[in-house]
Amino acid sequence: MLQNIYDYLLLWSLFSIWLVMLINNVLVTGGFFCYMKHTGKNKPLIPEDDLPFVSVLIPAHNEAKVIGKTVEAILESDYAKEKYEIIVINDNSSDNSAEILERIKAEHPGRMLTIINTDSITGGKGKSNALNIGLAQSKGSLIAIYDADNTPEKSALRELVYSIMNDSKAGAVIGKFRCRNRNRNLLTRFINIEGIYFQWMAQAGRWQLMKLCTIPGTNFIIRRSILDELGGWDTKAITEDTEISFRIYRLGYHIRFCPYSASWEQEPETLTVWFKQRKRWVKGNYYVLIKNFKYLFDSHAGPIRFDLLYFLAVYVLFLSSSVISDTIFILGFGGFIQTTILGYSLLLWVMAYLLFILSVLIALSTEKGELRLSRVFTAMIMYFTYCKLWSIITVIGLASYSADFIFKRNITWYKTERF
Amino acid sequence: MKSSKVATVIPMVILAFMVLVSNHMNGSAFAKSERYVLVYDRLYEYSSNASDVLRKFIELRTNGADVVLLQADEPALGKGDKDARFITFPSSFESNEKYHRVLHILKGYKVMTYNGQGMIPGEKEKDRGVFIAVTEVYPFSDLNKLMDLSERLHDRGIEFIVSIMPIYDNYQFKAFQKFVDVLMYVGKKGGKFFIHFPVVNYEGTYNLDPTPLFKKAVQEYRKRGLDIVGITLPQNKMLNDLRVYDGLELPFILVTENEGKINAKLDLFKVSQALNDYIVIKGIHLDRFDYFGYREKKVSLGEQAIVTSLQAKEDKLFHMLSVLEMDRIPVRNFRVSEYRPKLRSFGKHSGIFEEQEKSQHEKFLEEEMRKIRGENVEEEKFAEGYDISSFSRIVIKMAIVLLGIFSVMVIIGRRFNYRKFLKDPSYKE
Repeated sequence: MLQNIYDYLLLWSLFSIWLVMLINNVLVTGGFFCYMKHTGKNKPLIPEDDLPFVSVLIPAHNEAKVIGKTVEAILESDYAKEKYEIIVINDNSSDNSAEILERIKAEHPGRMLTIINTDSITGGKGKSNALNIGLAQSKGSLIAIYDADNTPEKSALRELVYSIMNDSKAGAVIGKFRCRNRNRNLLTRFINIEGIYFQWMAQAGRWQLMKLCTIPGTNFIIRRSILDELGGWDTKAITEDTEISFRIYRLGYHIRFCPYSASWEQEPETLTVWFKQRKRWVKGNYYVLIKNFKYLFDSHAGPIRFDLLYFLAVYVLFLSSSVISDTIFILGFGGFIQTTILGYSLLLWVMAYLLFILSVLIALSTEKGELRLSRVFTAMIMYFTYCKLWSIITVIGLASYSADFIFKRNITWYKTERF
Repeated sequence: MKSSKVATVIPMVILAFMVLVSNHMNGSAFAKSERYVLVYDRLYEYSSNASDVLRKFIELRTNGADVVLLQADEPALGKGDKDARFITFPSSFESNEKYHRVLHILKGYKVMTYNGQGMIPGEKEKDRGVFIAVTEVYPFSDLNKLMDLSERLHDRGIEFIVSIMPIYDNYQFKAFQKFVDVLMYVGKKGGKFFIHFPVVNYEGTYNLDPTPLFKKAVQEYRKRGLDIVGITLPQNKMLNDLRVYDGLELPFILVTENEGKINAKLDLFKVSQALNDYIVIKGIHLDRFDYFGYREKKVSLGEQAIVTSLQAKEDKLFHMLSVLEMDRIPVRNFRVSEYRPKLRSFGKHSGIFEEQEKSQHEKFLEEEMRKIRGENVEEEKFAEGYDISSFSRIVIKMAIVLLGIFSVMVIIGRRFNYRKFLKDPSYKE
């Protein structure tokens, strides 16, 4: 029988880790089938006259390093030129973003490019606020969102529109974003794999199995009618994408996954920037989790209950288990504590490791040029390094969120530094 | 493209690993041992201390088989496992009539007759090599000699058995700690610890039950970090005194010389059944071990350990070492992993004859009676750790299946998913 608290904790963590791994493996399998289903599918084109008018919103705060490339990429979209407008919300920038944008506007006189420059009074209050400003000035029946560091492929917008036009129950459609600086250093290689595996394989899996997706913050399109009904973005949410996803589901719509639409974005190249960005994500996800926790017990909440459970599994179950098992391992190794669990096989750990590597390989096999030996080695290292960093940053994020909550501190929106 | 192919090879390697692991699990942990039932009438012949039945029993047990001793009058005769092989001992029967009656009852079973020869037709001797066992290790032994011997064996890459004597009190003495320290060092040099069966023979103790003292002695050693894996005892004690060492997590039994007869009143059927959980190693004294016979692979079945006392003359010990070195006799290391299947099933009934399931009421009454007699007080005090091995096995099997599916998925993903979604992998920053 179990003899001390460490036995209980160890058993708990073992159970939780394998449970979350099992859920992830199910999602990977679902995702794989989703990708296979879309393979080689030829879509009929929508006649140009039938194309809806789309407003593309690009919120930008001090994005001079990347904003030019982003706007140029969207201007080059193969969507009918007269059927979309671009609205850049230059949100209280102190750099030369305004000049760059004005220059691009001058270079493309016939194009519908609107630049909204806000100051510290009207803007500078985060992405949600910037999006709401852009929404107020937009005309489209569909609203597409791109982050300021994104360079969507030419067909990205057209694919999103095609998907939403052919699915009346879709409140929004999301495309993929990929890491464009993935070969810069080890950190960006990790982020690239993380994106393909944890973001896109999981999204595809959830879509395939439960018709459930979460808006990733960029490269997505949403119906204006829904935004009007929702009253725009929640300015208190620092992960506005997840927050609005939950609200869309509660209205009875679903969010569709469109693997054909891809955008390339710049990811953090230094640990400091990565650390700040992820801390914001963690805090934002805890905000969403707490805000929507009540829907876990609401039978009308639909598939978002799975998302809430998944959030709980990852941010509570898996996090606690990972921290506990590592702590027990270290303390046990140092001889400070002793557990009496018998029959734990090292093979269990080996199997978990192999499953992780293989599921990453499955995810990589769905992306052109990604299934290569160097990526396999990166995934092998990732298990011991990046995944551990995730635990650390999540604990820090949780502590910071708790402190904000207890001391009633204002949540500040950290803008990811560009390179 | 080349590295992509290599990346696809990895799932195949994992697939192969998985098949190996799966084979290993099927071939070892879950493989059934040979099962024998030795049917006899009298254990010993008149005026003899030797028993063909017991000799065969030990031989088969050392060869890894599950064996049950079944007296011809036992009601279980004819009710056993159909897959087990019955070996009858005609010379042990008082009358031909009784022997033929037994054969009649065993009609339909696989029955063989023991003809006095060592091997049974179709029986294969498992090549386990020979171990080296140093016995009679006391706190007052020449510990320098023990360390020297350990180092020399270690230098030759030989792991060996060290059979230590049980100590019943005075654990607070520095000498005891020093003894344990030396043993820890010996352990690092490849020594595997067995504990000698309790010898309680001073005046007034002939009727003393050694079980609690022995249990205490094992626990005191373990408390200080010594991993005791087996017990050393003579053949008769192995059967007579199972209750003394049963339940102490000592999966190995090193059987030494026979010191007497088996208690006639003993229920050998049950005892032999319980002993099937243990791994039996038969020892032969150093003086009687035929090195050259061993080298020529003529060592008879059941001789698995060269046993020598630490008190033996130094010349003998080191002569043995020099012979080992000169003749390059491949003395097998003591590898616990070789016995993994048996170790896994240790403590679980092997069940050639499954006991009738007792009713809840009977079990309750039995437990209550044990409480009244105070027999299970120690058990309650020293509760064992929580065993998750069955959970581990389920998860490992599940993971093997998943690994198989995933490997196939990676291969399919690479070979058939030509229409990838990102059309610009060589994106220029």
